[in-house]
Amino acid sequence: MGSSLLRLRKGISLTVMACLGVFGSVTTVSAQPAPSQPAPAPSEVIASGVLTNAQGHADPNGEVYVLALPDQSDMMGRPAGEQFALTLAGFARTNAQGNYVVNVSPASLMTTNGRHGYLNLQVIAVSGGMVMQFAYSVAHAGKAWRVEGGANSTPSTSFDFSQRTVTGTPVAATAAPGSSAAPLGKGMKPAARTADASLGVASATSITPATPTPALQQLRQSTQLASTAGAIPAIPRPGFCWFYWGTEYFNIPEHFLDAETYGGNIPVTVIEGTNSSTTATLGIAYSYSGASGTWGASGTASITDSSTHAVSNTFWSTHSVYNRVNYRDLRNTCGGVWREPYSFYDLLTADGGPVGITWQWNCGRHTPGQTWSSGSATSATIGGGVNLGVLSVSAQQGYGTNIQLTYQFNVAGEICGNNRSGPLSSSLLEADPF
Amino acid sequence: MGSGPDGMWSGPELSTGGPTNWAIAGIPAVGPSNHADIGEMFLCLTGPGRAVITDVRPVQPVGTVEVVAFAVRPNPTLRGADMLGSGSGTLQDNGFNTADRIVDTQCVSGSGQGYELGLELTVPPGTNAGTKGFQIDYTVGDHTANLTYPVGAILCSTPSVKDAPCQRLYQQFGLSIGP
Repeated sequence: MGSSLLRLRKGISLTVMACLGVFGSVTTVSAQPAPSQPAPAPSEVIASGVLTNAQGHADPNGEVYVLALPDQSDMMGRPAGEQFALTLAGFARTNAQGNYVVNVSPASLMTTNGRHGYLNLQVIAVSGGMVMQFAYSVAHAGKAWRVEGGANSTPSTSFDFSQRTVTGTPVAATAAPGSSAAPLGKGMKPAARTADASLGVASATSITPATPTPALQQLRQSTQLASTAGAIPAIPRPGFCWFYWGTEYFNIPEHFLDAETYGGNIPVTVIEGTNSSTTATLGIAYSYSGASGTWGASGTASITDSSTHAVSNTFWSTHSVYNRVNYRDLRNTCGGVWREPYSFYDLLTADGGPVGITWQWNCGRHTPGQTWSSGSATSATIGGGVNLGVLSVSAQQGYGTNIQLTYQFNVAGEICGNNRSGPLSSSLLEADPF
Repeated sequence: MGSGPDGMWSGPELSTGGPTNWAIAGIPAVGPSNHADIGEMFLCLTGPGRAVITDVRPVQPVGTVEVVAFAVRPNPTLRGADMLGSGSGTLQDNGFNTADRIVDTQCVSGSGQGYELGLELTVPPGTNAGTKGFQIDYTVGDHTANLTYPVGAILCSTPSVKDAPCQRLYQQFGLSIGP
């Protein structure tokens, strides 16, 4: 796997730049004239920050490009090694203080690249012939772009070429000097076909190739920034930015929820998989197809399956619940690697164990002998699992559509949630006797 | 409030107040002399106004689910009390007044300001039935509309939900209640 499988898709490679959509606007924070680009309205900040050059000073000639990955469902169907184009969402030059702002109108970009409610972005910064990059996901809420992954704040990413660090939301990553061909940041563990229980891929990657890649130069030329950028070293022949699947990682334990029940008399049964009455998706990259069933990679495609493929487990006390997940790397020919969930290796594995309960206070009472079932994973704690890399936290809601929890009230008890509108509106739940 | 120039309703609508998990309560020993009750159905209005609930009915039920009564009450969690999850008896037994059917609180995200809808349900003698949700019919002024709430019920006449006929009904809804 890896770059050895890099190949271009016929019929696309020569036309990709012509098709490269520019959704954003060039922000005139620079004193220099901005390239002529229509500024769609309304547009909002999708990237902002500061560039510090290799000498440790604010870079007044820096360039920033914001690239949007294809929608999740478009990516997941790609076989390893196949390349596909990205979208130029916007770009900007820094001002005298090294600040940049990229505004992007949400409408068309969300339609094409964010059909599942969020965008996966790569931000490339150029300073004095050096390149760094950062990846994050955004959703459009209200009239603003917000970084997903816990920060829920306005996108802010600062690149320091002297320290080779990127500071962004929601996490910061430290860059390592890299080669010009899709180098890896320190956060990546590229060993192929290894079970990596410590997999914790940061949602940021950062690289500093000695020279911009041909693909990046093509990108720069398409935005006209290259012609006014000043001291950029000689660039090789134009190329293209592509994504392609690389190394695969199998059998990674993933903690995806805690089934919370207290006291030992209200067992909770966790059901995973699909069943005859559920048209569902599971996980980010899961699909089940064919009469005999095979794990696929079509992600969020809705499927209907038979009950024979559902698995369940019953817990009598609060317990963490794990799956085993397969991953693969998504590489960009302009540089950068993301590790993506690819398929499920196994469901409801034995990796979990007893955990503490998180008490909630908005409750509904249930009498002995009754049951209460939720058809959503959000009826338990989601989180604490593997980092989903560039994919957004909201994507985890994909788990919700065919995970079911059923509480059996052998004694009088209550289901309590973290929302004052009640358990049904809550993202976190627990069951306890009273 | 009212209809816009295109005839479309522009007034307030009944709402769950935000994302709502699908849930289903399973209740044993249900029959004409032992009605089942379910609650936790939070309601508010999308704007200022007053909605009157006129009817509640099961959506695509399996078997016959009869709605005996329905009523709302101010959200109990706001005063530190519990909602009605599921129970038995009458709605009055569970703290509802069946004359109360008006929702007049505007939704404020995360505030819990609103009402809890409770339903009193039964099945024909000796039968089991279920539904994955209920349709709430209501009026705002002269405007009539409905809201489908993703809360269901499995109502079994058997003494336990673990009895075979009831278990089969659970399976029809894709559920398992474990050992």
